[in-house]
Amino acid sequence: MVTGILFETDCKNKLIVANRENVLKLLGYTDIVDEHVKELVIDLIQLSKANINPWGGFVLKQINKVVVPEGKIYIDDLFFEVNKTIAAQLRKAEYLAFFICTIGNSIERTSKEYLSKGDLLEGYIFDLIGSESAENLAEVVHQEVMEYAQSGGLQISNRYSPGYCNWDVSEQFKLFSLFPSEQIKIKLTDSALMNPIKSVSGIIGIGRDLKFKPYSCKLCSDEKCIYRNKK
Amino acid sequence: MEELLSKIAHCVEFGKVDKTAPYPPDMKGQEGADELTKQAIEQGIPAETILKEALVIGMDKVGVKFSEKKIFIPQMLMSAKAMNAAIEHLKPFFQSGEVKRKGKFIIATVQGDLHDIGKNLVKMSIEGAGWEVIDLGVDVKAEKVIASIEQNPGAIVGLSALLTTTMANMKNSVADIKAKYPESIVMVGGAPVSQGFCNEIGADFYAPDPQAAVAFLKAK
Repeated sequence: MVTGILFETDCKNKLIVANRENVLKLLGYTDIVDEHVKELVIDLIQLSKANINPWGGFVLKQINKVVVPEGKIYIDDLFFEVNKTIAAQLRKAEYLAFFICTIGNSIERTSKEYLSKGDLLEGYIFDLIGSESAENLAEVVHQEVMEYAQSGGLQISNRYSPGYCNWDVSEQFKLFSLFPSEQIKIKLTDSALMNPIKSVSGIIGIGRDLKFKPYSCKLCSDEKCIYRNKK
Repeated sequence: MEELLSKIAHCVEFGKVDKTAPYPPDMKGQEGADELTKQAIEQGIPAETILKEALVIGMDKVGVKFSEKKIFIPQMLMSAKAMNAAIEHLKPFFQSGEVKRKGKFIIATVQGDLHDIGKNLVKMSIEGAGWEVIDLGVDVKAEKVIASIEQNPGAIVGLSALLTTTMANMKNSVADIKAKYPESIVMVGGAPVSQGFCNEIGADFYAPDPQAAVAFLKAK
């Protein structure tokens, strides 16, 4: 494992734009879908394709120790207070892949333009397409980490992000400190918000005895998360 | 007059904006909230009557159906758009003071937070319920909210936060507002906010969704 350098993700020919069914689910539809809304979602996804400018990458770091009762993971001279839930999932990890990725700010800008001229539904759908596309890009980065780990005979975990599973979002500052600032296309605001907004950051565990476990929403306290219990 | 008001309420309830709007499909080619409100004003129906007996009634029905999960966010947004089209015709009457609204509501996303979609949904629902909404935007410092309270005495304040980090700013904003205006009423909302957090920071009401915000204001 080569640690400490940025691996940029190859986003070419990857399907990143949001899937229609997922956007409709996020709008609340499960069984019966309003045909007008469905057609609109299809059109806006089509328009979004040209507005996605994906960029992503990851940095590998060797783990010094994972202390589950403290909810901490120690790396170099840093420790991440990821909370007990995430620490427990990563207790067998030997390395962490820190990743960041973004689809750029074009969809976000389009969403705001629609909202400001009163086209509320279109603006809202563009926003959801942006969020869902950013998640798809995170999946692409995740796959790349998996391929790299498997080439060394190692397994990977699921991915975990600051702001979820009670991992405080202010830890973004530590996470971003591991990336070469001149090479990355995401900046943090003073309140740890990523700019562009449609970005994802997080960690993926790597290790010989690590198992990939699906997310368990029962462990998370965010009852209103739009991804809660999403299949 | 009653038939026209009922038609406007129906357009708001089902999100029929104007004649050219394709939504809802079963009203295609029919006049929408835009044209009907214009006709109502031309016929001399008082703007306040249009607001209270058409728009508020239409949005009330939307709120109830949304709470009962009979409609989803898309329908609510189409209704809000139809209501906005109608409100455009009423604006001169708001400005002249001919139409009295139920009160003033100051809304803002707290300092450090740039999210505004949730805030805008609440804003539209409250406007539709007959309130004047003063939207201070996103990334708003407490001083700006306090300045707005000074300009709009008695206004109720709504603060939104979408990040766990900016919840801390929400706490500080509520404290600053209450220190300057202890009698002011502050409502809070946003994805990470809860009833417990609302109690902890001394806010007056936690609105988990736009309908809860409207219901709280109705009781005032």
